[in-house]
Amino acid sequence: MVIEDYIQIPPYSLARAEKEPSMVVLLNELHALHVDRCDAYRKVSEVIFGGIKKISSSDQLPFIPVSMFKTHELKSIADGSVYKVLTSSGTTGSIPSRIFLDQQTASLQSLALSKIMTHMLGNSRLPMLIIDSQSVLKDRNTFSARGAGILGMSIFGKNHTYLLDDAFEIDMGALEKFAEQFNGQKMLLFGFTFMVWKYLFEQSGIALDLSKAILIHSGGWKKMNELAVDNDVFKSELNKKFGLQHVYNFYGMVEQVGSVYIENEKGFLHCPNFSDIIIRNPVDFSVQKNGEEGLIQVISALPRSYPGHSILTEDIGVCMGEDDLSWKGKYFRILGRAKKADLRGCSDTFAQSA
Amino acid sequence: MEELLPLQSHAAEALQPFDERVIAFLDRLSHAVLKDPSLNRIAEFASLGFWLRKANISKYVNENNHLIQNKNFVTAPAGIVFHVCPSNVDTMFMYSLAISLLMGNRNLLRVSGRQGSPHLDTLFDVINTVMRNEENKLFSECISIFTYEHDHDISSFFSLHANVRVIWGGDSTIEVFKKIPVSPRTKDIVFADRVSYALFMSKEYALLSEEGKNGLAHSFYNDSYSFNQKGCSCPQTIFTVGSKADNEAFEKNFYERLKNVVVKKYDADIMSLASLKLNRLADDATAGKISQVMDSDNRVVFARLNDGADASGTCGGGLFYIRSLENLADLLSWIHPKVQTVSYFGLKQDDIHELVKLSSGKGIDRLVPIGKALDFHYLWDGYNLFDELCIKRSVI
Repeated sequence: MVIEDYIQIPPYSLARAEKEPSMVVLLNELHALHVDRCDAYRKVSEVIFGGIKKISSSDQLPFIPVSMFKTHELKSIADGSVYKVLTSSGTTGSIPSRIFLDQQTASLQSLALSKIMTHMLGNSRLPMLIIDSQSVLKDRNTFSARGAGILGMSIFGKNHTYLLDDAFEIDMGALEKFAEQFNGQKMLLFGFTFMVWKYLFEQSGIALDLSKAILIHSGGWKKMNELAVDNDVFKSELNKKFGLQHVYNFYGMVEQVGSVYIENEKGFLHCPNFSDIIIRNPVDFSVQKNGEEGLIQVISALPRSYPGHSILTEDIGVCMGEDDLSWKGKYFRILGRAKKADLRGCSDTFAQSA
Repeated sequence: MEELLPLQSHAAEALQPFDERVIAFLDRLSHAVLKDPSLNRIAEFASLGFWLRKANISKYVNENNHLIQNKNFVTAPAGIVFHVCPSNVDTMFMYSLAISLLMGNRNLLRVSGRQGSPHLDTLFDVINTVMRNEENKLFSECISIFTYEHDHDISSFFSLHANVRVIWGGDSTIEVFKKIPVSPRTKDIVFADRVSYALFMSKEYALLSEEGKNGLAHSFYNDSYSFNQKGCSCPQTIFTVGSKADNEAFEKNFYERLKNVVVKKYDADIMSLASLKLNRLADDATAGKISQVMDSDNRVVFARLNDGADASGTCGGGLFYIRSLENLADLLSWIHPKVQTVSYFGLKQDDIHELVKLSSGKGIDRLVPIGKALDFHYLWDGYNLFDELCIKRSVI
């Protein structure tokens, strides 16, 4: 099976017995392709993973640490074939990840995302309120993850309205116009978790009936945890204030655009057919059982222009189950992020403060 | 800020090099440290306590007899010594201070404000208690310990008044302090970034008893993991010397034994450590530095070093580069002036002499048995600190 056909299968329809053989074929092809075309991937795979040629199960696939996308230009295509470069927005002062896409990978990613989103939203485009400012899209040369997320989602909506103006103030005019037309109707809300909380929930003066709206949000819980807001509080507060009933968090990263993990009926993040996660024991990188926490390895059958098909993230998670819900596939929960190790040497009395 | 400076003692009370009063004071500190129940069970503080004992200090005085019984010069204190202390080793400032006191100096110490170690606070309490004692009152005029975040004004003020600056903390700290103006006669004693190795004769290892092998793994653990492998004397690279078969057998056997110790004793945030090491291994693999990795436990990682690669640069926390050598002399191609400590197992006296001769002028400041890598010595980074912290007066 080729990836173009595999993506067409309804995204949560395959149980392990059907998914695994297809994934092994697709991943073997990707592994060989990246070993052949990406020097860094080949070296990591040879030195750290014993130069495995062919995998017989997906947990044998080498993985590269997510930070490598910051420190290396990882490409499996010629420079001339680069169609766009995605960068992570990152925190201030940190080096951003750079992801090199050719047209094929970019279109596989859009297709994958659209399979997941149409599963959630249906086939018709919904009026869309974006909880952000259009200014994050201004620099078209390098798409930040935030901008890429908004653009990627925009194709599932119509009558796109940005809640914030360029100064990050509520754009009351635009909001009123949107509300006049669509209040109480089925609509799509999209934004980063923290932005939704800060600009939609915490603002006074926004009176919307969102009882039929679908909110899709992402971006991590770090800032939210500082405010002592977890997913349950987030959902119940939005429900109280706006009557919002359909709220879906998703986990995704610029290193694997398209292969997103969206919240399922139980509130856990769910793997679609073309992605998988493996929870790795931090002691020896062995596979953790369901219920045991570890570092999250994310696997995607999509990336061809760069070796991003198997990445060890610095996120800590736990697999909650597999194939026992209406959606097939593994589902998991994120517990946090590994702290940056601070092993201080003799040589740093002033290194950090100087 | 003048009041921050240690007072000029009255001439009658002024300390002289190897003053009996200092030796007695250090001995009282030693007792206090070894008696404190929260400090004496920590190896680092226990070592300090033993080091400060009168018996040990007297030994050092004897070894440095040339400073007091010399026909050609008379030794005097250097004056005010400003110590810039490393942040990762809680006890380091005490050694620096003790040697300087023994030479009769008055001392300003900057102890990093980022340490936040509860044991360090206990140590300060112990020092203060001892100093409050009437018989030790003199010493409160010779010792001023400060904790502050990097502050240019304070460091400049201390630098300007110092006769000697002792700068621990490696290249970056030295760089900061070199930019601070000092008096033209101020002497700097600097401790730059270094790299250290461990050396094993694999055939001799095979001859050890089970107990001997486990003991060696234990000693190596103490050398390496005490400061998360980030102390300048902690081994970053393991060199094995012997036939290919002996070296390979050593690696497998020693890895497992070390792992057994580490699993029991090393307390680390394993999630961070696993990420940290995978990142470093991926960088090293990509850069062509390493060719193979042994890591059945992320707390102990052996990465095989390629020809000509840099044997320093571990991320710490138990990532060792490893390299098999046929002959001891092959080590020389890895010796350069940055090499500080080579801790060894299985070297015979002749081997040691040979290695010392071959490496002379190239590198290696300390050659010590495995297990002794972190022991503080007054001979450090090529300095004899007693010699450095005094002046010699010519009297004919």
